[in-house]
Amino acid sequence: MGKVKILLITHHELSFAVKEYMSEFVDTRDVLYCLSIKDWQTKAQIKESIMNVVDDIEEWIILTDMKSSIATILSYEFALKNNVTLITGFNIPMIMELVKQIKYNETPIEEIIDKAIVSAKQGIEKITVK
Amino acid sequence: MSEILIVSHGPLASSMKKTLELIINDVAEVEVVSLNDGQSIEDFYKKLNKTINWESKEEVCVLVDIYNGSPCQSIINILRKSEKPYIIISGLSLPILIDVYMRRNEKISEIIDEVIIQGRESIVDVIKTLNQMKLSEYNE
Repeated sequence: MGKVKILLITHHELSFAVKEYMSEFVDTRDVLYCLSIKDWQTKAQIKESIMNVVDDIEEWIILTDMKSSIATILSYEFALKNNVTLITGFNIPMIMELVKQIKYNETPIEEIIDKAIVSAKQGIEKITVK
Repeated sequence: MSEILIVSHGPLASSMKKTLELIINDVAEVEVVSLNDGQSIEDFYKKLNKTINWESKEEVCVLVDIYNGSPCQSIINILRKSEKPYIIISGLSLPILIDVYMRRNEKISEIIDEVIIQGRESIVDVIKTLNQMKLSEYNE
């Protein structure tokens, strides 16, 4: 198995904002990669830009902002490969858990993904103040 | 009716709002306050205080990036001492923001459980979920 890497794909600059956010806490080089979908890009161009990042050697986790986004739809065919997992609806707790597991633990990919999804879901909560 | 405020470290909050604007044209009713690198907490408090519509009796729904962060703790400290009705949701994601925005004519505190369930359900391992669906269809 190769290294595990994360590719964030969003419209606008959201993916880069997330990377900038994460960089305030941890060195994300060699772990977190970003793609921003531009309005003028064709589907073929978007697919090509994904193809330029996602190789067949490393384990890739593609994160998109929501289920019905163009990023999710166009990432689907990449996720059919054995070395790519596609997760939608990312939030900061998910990405923090992913980066932590990839950088500091030698956790198997299936476990990394399960932990990240649990963290993401647990991170969504109503904050009650006593 | 709920007012919406996004609070986060760095450029995340403003970028979330810009992404919402790509999907829904006019999102002027969404306020954003970011704690930027090097900014003091005192300055951040001032920005939060200035942004919250204290004149209005409407509930403010605050979406924060993470529960334990300084932005979250700051907004809690401000709102808990006030009489402004509020609800705070952590784990900000685009599906949650869209859901809250589309339902802003309701009091978010009254539908909070639905919002949280929807937000959690929007987190999906796509291929795994599709395979589970195919398997359950096959078993039926």
